[in-house]
Amino acid sequence: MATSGHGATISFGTSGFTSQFTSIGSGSSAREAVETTHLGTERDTANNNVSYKTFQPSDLIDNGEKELEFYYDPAAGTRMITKAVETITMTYPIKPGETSGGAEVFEGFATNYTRPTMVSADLMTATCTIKVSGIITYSAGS
Amino acid sequence: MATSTANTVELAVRDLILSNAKINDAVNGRIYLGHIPAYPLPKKRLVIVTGFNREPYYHLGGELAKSTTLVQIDVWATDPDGMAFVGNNTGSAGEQIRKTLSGYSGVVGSVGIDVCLLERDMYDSIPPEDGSDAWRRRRSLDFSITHSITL
Repeated sequence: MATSGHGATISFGTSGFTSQFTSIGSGSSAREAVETTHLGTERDTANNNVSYKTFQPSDLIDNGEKELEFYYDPAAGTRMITKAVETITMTYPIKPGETSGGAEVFEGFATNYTRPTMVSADLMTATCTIKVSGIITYSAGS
Repeated sequence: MATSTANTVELAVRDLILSNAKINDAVNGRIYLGHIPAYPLPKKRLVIVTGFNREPYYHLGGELAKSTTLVQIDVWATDPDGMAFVGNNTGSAGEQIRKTLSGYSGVVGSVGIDVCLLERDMYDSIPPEDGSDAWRRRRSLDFSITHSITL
């Protein structure tokens, strides 16, 4: 069943960075397609003897980035861009019937921090990009 | 401003308006929240403060202790010289209200006001039914106010 993102959390194991997050972009994992075409790659005799390139998945996976958006509090002192790699836990919203949401645990660090744009009628928000380093350990909600 | 005990944005706006001595003298207590009292009928010049259309803010963990509320302030006069009360001449109550609130930020009672922005400033003139020159005049000022709330 589809559910909204409301209730998702993210916590930082060492820096303790916390805020009122309005958006947590889970990011994407990606891997290269490594070409395996060779001189003996089969020809398609029914179609003018063309050959089709073949590939295999790379064994190196980039687990991407997490994009965070949050209400900016000028009084908050934690500057994520200066922090070292730390353990980060992101939890998915708790679905009806669950007592704990699914989670992703990974090592990560900030690669970008965008300060707020100040507009009279808008609340200030800031964004932060977290680079995932290594594996993401998933656990299902229960 | 005299110490305010305002705990809603409407009360904060009322106290803020009354903190301006010129307005306070002009309305002499005839500033009402939401509607005019049915009895006793107030005098011919008065101000009504109505808050509506509160827009909440959310983060992933719940509602933010802040919201933006549209507050309408109606400045009414039903006497022949009413335009001097509602109009845009410097000394009018209407103009003093605009000057007091437009761009305001600060704390009134327990309400923290981030900003108070004038969204609309409209005049209304309704001809008298008795053929006299006592037109009913209204200046309606809509302010978009971003402020703290108690959750």
